[in-house]
Amino acid sequence: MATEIKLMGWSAKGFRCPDHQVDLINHNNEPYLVSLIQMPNGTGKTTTKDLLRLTLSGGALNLRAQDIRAFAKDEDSFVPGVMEVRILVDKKVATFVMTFDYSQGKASYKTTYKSGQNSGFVPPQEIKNFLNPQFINYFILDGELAEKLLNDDQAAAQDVIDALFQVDSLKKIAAKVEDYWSEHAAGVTTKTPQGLTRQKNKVDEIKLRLRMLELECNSLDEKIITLQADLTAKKLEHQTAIEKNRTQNADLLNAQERLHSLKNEQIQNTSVLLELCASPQNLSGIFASSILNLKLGLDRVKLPEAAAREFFEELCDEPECICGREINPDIANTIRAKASQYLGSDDVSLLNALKTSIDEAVGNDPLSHRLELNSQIENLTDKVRSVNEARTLVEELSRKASQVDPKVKEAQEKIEALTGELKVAELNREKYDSDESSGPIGNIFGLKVLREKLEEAEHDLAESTGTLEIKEKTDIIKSILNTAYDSSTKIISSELVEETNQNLKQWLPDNNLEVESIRGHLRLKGKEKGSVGENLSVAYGFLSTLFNRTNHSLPFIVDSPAGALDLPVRENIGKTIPKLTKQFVTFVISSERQKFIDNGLQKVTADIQYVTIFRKRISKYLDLANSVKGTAITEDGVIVDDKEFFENFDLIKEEERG
Amino acid sequence: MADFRILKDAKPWFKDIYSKEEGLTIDFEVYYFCLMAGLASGKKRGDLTTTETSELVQHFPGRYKEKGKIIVSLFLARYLASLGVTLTDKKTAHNQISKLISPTSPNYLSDEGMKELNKYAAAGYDEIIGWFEERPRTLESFLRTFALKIDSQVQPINI
Repeated sequence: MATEIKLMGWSAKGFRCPDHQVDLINHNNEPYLVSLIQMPNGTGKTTTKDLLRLTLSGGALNLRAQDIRAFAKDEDSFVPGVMEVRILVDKKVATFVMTFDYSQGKASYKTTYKSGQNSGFVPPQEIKNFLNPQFINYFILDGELAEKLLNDDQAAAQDVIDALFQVDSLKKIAAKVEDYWSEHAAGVTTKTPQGLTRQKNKVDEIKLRLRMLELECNSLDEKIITLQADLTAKKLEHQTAIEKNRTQNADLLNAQERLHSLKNEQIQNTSVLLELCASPQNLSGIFASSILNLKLGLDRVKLPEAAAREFFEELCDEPECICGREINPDIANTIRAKASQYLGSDDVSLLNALKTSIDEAVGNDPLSHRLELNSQIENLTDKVRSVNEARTLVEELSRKASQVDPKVKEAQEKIEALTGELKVAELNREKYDSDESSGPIGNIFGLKVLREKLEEAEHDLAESTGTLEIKEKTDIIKSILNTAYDSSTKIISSELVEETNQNLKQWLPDNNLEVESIRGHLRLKGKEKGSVGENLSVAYGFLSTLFNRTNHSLPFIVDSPAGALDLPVRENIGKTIPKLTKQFVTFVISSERQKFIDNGLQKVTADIQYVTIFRKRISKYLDLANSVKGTAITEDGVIVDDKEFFENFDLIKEEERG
Repeated sequence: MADFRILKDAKPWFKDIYSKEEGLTIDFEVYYFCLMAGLASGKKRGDLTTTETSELVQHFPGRYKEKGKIIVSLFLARYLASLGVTLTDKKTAHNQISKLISPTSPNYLSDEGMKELNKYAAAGYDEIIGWFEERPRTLESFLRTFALKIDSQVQPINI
């Protein structure tokens, strides 16, 4: 069911950041579309973001005592830290209060929703999947998220898909099923405990090796896909560089064109040869002759006969034969017995059909077919030779072109390096498909072999422990679950790629950004790596598509959204963000205002809140803040909810003082 | 009705020329080449287990639909020759043929006939891997070598 979550506000007291309270509700009594929280460096932006994450995920229950104490205002503080966060869940208020007891180094929670207050972190059922330590990072974001989503070494994009679509439940259930059987097998005692231990150890050893090799193999698969994509991108770059200088590279371009056309001809010749090979009579004169001889032999012995078995069987039931003689029971029995020597009418039809096919396919000259095949082999061999010659020429001219143009040279060198790297990776990958099954487990690399050995070892163990039936059932369930996981992630990923690209095209029409695939991480089409701005756009676009896809609406709460961006990119991102979400709350420093807010956000929406939070000890701003209506002052912090104050807040001087 | 069954080991060997735009497109093509090599050599593997083979289809698919009867004819010729049955002995030929064919089957073979056909295909895979120094990387190189090898290695079929 669709769920909408919006952040209403929060209050923080007793933490490293100044005590403060932020209310995100506008005059329509709804959260602003955009809330800008300006906090100078050193005020505790990151602390506030971390506190929001911990309060809304229950994550503080897993923190160590020293981690909790690190949030205190000072080391000797025994005043507890209290963070209260209010959210709207489908327009109903839920409140989470997180308390840090610094003396004991412990965290506790209280949750209020609908029926009243509960001790502990008890998020409403409908949003449990979002309010947990894994998922919270995907809507309370920091600058590293885009990198994580697009980094080859991380599977963050897959993780968020798993979490949001809950497909990881399939893996978790499979693991539970496996645990169940393992526990069951472990609890069984037999008359030969030593033998059983040996069997269990063997299962564990194979499992461990299989898991390790699967990880290695998956990472190698990822690498191969990345290298292939990089190689394609580099080849494109190489070709663009060559085509830029058409006059100088005319010979090369002609040679490339010839190679391309010869390759197409080679494909056509191969296809003709395949078609010829698909007819047995073409493969060998002996084949064609034997097929013809079968037909001739059948003709010779009159097989099938003109009469079918059914004729004689029916005759037995007649009082007299067609010649007029009487058919008595003895004669009828004799006819019936001999009838079995005749083929049934269906068999007769089939044999006749075979003979007709032989006539049509082989004809009277069985040896002629192979000659046609030979001629096609020669054609193809000639074509392969021509392709090789043309390829050599292209390589030679490419080398010459690269000596003149450094861009061509650079791309060429990269292509050669990538090709080499790809070859090595593909060679390394082969060992995981090996059929070699002899020797100790530690020497086996073939995944299929190991899976078979594991199945065998588990079967033996199950037999010894009398748990064979349970084992077979768990295997079936695991296989169904794993297949379901693979199929569903494949379908979801491919649909998401398509939808993300449609959205990116709509939101960022000038950027020509496309996601190529999601295999663990997001991969951009035709680019090895995007710029910081591109990565951020794709990351926002991907997450937004993902949330929309599941009909859930979540706020984006972002720390320093524009810090790493160039000015033109800031403008673009600023204009894009309000289209991606129904609520955008962001922590900024004053230097991020330029272009991001004035030329970006403000151009697309007026529903913007401007909050500035700074430490009370900075007297210059305290005086100014005091003159603004609605300024709140706490023990160590000042909170000003005012656009003019926000825009005039001067970070540089602030930092010098702070 | 029995299925065409392919050795599980066979598909990985063909993987570089399989399922590519310009390569073999269906599992049956791998089976076909193995079968032809088996029928050429006249060798058969022993009884096959379901764990060492994978089920394919019951009918002749794709481009082989029109060629099914010729493939079955070649099989009959090779099988009868292997038994020493000549087509001058009508009774024996009739008995053997009626055991192997089934007009109601989409592949024209009885269960017994299909079992024997699959044994030739399995042995054919052993033949093919002996013909190549390494796994084929392109369809054109595979086809050229296969076509040359099969013609030079085929054993007489005296029927």
